[in-house]
Amino acid sequence: MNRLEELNQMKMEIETMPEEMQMPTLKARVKKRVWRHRALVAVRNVMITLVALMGGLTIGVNTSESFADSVKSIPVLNKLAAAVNFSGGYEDAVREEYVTKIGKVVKTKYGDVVLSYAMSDDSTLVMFFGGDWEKKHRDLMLSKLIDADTGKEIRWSGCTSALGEKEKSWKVLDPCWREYHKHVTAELELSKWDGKKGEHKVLETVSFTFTTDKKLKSKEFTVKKEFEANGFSYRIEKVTMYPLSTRVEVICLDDIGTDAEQTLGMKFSLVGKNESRSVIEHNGGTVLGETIEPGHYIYYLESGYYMMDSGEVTLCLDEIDQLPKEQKEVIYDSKKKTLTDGKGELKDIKVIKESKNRGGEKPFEDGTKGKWLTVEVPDGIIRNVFSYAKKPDGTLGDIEHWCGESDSHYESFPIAEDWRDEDGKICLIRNYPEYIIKTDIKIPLKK
Amino acid sequence: MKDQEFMDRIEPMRKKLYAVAYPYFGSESMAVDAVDEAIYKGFLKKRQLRKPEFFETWLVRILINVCNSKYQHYKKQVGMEELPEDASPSEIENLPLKEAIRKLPEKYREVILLKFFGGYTLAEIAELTDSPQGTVATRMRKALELLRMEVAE
Repeated sequence: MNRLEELNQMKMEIETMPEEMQMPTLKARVKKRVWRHRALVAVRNVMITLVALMGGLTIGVNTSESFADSVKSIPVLNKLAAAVNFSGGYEDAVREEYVTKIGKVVKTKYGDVVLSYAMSDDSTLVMFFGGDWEKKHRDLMLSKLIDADTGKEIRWSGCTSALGEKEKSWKVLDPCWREYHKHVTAELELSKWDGKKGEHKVLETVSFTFTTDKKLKSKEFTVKKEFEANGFSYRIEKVTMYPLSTRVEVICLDDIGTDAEQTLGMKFSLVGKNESRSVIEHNGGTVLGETIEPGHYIYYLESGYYMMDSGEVTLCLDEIDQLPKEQKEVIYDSKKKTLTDGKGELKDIKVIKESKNRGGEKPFEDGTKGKWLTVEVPDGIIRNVFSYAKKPDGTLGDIEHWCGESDSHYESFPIAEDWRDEDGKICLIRNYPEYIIKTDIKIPLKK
Repeated sequence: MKDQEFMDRIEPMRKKLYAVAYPYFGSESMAVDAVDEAIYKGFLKKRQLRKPEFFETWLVRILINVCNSKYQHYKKQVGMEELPEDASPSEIENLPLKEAIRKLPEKYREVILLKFFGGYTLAEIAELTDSPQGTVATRMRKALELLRMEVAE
């Protein structure tokens, strides 16, 4: 067969078109392909728009407070803005729509004070404040809480902002209370720090009445886990998980029936399937005026409430800070310039000097006779080495700390003359641990 | 151009499109796939066609591009190599015409397929390949020499 015959044969082969080339099927295939293309383009465009929107929001919310505030006033978008602005347990609460938008403004001479959000449960009320007063280095402190329904004052404590310390763009006030109140009036003091007097000067008081919408039930776990650390016996009695905080009740069995608080603190963390929460605040023995018996300790952690949704959560005890009772009292001998506890002279802290004034400042502004005591502390030691002085009559005198720079090796604090006994000795109550014990105690909390 | 008008214009061209695509692969399904893709691409870009009278030229050009692109992939799959431009006829003289055409350099293969399977004149091929008519004539002559074909112009 020559080339021309081959060519004709090839032409013959394609003379009959396959069925797929029939117009209706060809048209259907092309339309399907076009439809798929258009759907993909639409999805791609939506994704690009969403990514750009999220990116813009993230940058905007984190770089401009006013932008963040304006975004939060837009329905739906406020949740996106909140998701990038809150953190940890509060973010969980925001995600679960547990936060209530308040948006109330009180005008003052020192700028607007804005109560933007609030949320509450049986243990905590959290208020998120904003406004331009912050730029003028003013501070906002909670002075009173009132139940707006009954007009009665609400007992509260522990307003440390500790639970909200991560929320850099807000001033967070988070008092603990004993039960949930729906309608609340919060009275606050706008103040200025007076460095000379060492106190806050109240400039103006502001008041907000608001409603928090929703209360969720707490989850209680009776643990009764006993363990020993460095010769001390403990029992983790109960864990109560609220949406906004987790309360851990611990008993130091060796402290029952004594006045000695031989456990200065514990560090806990809550570990879930994919995330964890760490200890936030130790409220010690003074929670909300509750009578906490000797040996009992209450710790508040950032909440793991919403982590329970994805399964069990583990409470981990990571560290215990101890101070044996024989080392609790430290005798300062002003003649010998020594510090001595039940085990002998302190080696880590040394007396440097006593002085009548410190940089021109008297030790007591109210005329109390006294001096400054300066001690040398080693690197990395906890500051505020003594919390009280035990007076000769057995009562306690507060030691107010006027520490220098945080990296200084010296710490000065005022001591009053009437704290000394006949021999010129002062009994100081130590405030830092002797033993810091790392532990690996894990307690699963099941739903 | 509206969707329906586009499809109406496709209908009389189907046979020609299939005839140009088939020799590239010697496979019905691959030829249909190439035609589908060319029509789909044309449909998406139909707004870019400024002069409707050049619809056929425009669509065949799309088809050639699709076929060339698919053919590059196909060659790698079957391990086939094209002849260089200065190849001698003896290198493919013993091959069947189908295979010999596929081994031709791309620009020679194009003119052969458009002429004998698409039924286009040299002037039309020049238009389709965006080349001067003289160049097309030269390519045609060289392609026929390589295939050892004698065809009256």
